[in-house]
Amino acid sequence: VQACRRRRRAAKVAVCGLAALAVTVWRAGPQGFEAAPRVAAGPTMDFNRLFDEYANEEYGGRDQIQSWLVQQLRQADYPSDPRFFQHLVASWRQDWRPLRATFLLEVARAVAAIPANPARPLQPWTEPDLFMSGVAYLASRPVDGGTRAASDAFEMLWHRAALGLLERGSVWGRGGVYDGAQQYLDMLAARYRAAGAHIVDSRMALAAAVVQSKRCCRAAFLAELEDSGQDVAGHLGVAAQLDTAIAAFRDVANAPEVRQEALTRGAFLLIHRGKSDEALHWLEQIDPANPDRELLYWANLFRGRALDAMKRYSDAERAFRTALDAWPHGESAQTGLAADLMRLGRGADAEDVANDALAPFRPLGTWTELAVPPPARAVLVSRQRADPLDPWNTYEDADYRFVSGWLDALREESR
Amino acid sequence: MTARRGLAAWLLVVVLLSVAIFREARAQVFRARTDAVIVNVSVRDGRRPLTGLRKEDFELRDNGVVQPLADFTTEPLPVDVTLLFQWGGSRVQLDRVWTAIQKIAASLRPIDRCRLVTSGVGAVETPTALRPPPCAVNRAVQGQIDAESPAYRPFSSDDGSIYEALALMLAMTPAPDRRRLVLLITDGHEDINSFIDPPTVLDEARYSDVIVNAILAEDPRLDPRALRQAGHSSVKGVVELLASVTGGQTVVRDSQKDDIGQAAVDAMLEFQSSYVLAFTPHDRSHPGWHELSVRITKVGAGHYQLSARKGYMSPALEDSLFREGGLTCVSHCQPH
Repeated sequence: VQACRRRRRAAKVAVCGLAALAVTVWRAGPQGFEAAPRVAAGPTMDFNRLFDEYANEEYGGRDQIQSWLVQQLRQADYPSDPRFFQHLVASWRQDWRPLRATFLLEVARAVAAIPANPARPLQPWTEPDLFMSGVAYLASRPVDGGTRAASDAFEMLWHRAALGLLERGSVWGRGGVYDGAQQYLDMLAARYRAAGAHIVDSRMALAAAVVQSKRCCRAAFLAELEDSGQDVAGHLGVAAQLDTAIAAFRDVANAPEVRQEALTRGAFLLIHRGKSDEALHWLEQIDPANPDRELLYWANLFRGRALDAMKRYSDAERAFRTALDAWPHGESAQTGLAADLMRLGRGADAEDVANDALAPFRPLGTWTELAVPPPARAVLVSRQRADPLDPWNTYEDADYRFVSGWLDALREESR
Repeated sequence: MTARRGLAAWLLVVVLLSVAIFREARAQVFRARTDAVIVNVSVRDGRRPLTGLRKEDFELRDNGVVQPLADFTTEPLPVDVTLLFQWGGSRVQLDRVWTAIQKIAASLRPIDRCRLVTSGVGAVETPTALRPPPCAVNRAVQGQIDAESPAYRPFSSDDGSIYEALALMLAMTPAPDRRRLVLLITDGHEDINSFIDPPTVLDEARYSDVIVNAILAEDPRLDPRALRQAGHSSVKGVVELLASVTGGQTVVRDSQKDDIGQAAVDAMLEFQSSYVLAFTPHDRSHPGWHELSVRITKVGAGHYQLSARKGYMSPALEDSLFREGGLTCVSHCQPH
């Protein structure tokens, strides 16, 4: 009897498991999206109307686009159809307009800027559906005189901007760091392969290396933080992962357009790999006259870090001060500088630097404009210091720092 | 009603701390010389801070060499306390944070000063105790108070890192006649995206005279694996090491069940009742790290628990201002 009961129980468990699996698969849909649609509780957003207003520039000035879209999107629920945007762009194909493709990216950026609200949660499927629909819409554009070459620059810029948004790390890839960016790159590579082509864009290549480094080095950084400075390279497998990522940056550094950033990012990994002297060699190749202030800040920040690792505190002090020349009041450089001054026995100077880092902040914008996604932590952010954010905070976001400019260029070209 | 209560509570803190600052002007002067090495010693008998020890009860060794005691005072030293709140992985419970701040503020003596720094919760830096707590910023967001008031000074964004905050706090050298304590209250999780790494903070701590006491308010419901997946690392090991190096202590509490505010007050009271030893090193020929050891020579003191800094960095000989001197017990020591 007991054996019979056991069999029956096992059968019940199996049936329940299969049922749960079936529901999961059904909810995931053909695109593999993770969550089920939610029944809309309020008015549903009319994206055709929203696009018309956008096309008519009812947002005011260029700088107001994001806040205008955020405001519009917060006033209504998203459609409950998880493939809504796919249907929307299908209806747009008859009258193909590049501005519509740009509009999808603007919406994606605005969606990411809206803090989660437990009372009106965002549809988790919204972001991947937006990006994938945008890609499908781009692919459906009419051939221009028998060739698509005339539109290729637009398409590549669109992909750059999409990837830049995904590199922010907070959109789409909530399941893991850069998951969305990785999926996007995989999808793009597959599409190009199917068309007998491959991506020839140095920024996209750099983005691929960044994504690779972030994903594979996650374990390294966690181990480093939690093991209070044990030799990361000693962790099983971590050294090999770091080496792979470093090699990727070395390859990308052959492209002149992104060489300096690839060297900077590779050098940072070399420091984690315990090769600070080699990192310094990479960083020596950074042009001090590079107009990219963020890049100069990063390079000197890492130079300071490498010199710290080599116990060359006086040289590290100079590196952090150079970083602060590029970006005054950068918190990370100030903190590194204060730590070095302490170690140089200059406590009074260290305290001055620390106090400067804690100096009064001035109003910059609201937390919504700052687009800080985690709700629990964003709720208190009402103001920021007048200086732009410490560029260290944007380092992880990679090309997100260019997205605004790329969207401007796309908009300009669309009109 | 809630707003009125909040205002009343806030006014209470303002009054308390105004009195504190007023009385501070009459605080006694610490007689230790600027070239002295200060060693804070916390002694516990079980869970109770032990007071009433005399200078003869202590033995302090610098690199294994016993240092003589020369002078002492029974006056308690004023404390500059920095309340450092850091929440990395769990939801901030503002009510609990606010309650903790109120309790700590109420436990301060008139001679003490207070600074509030938050990290990971939207971050508010308060140069004096009269600055509002982080939940005030929340009220500003909700439009209940004037957000443009100069009183609100965010220390950093929500990206605020515990290691960066600690590195800055360790650079704040205490005045010769005061002690400086960082009372860290954290949920034990840090965003992985921190530029300053633990070795830097731990190394800097060896050069600093700041003491770090930590309260780890852990949420047992949180899955450590999920937190790691979300990019949060555990700071527990580093914080315990940091507290140990600086001569502080680490207390682990359940953030859901335990009274975090009371734990912070207990840590504060224990620090206030701790002993302060100071000595001027005789041996100036060994710049670099000097290992310190402190023990109580009194018969039957074997079961007492002591916390003291593990050592100090001695400047190079040419930079040294060291002069002849001896060991000084300057706080809570009984006269001969």
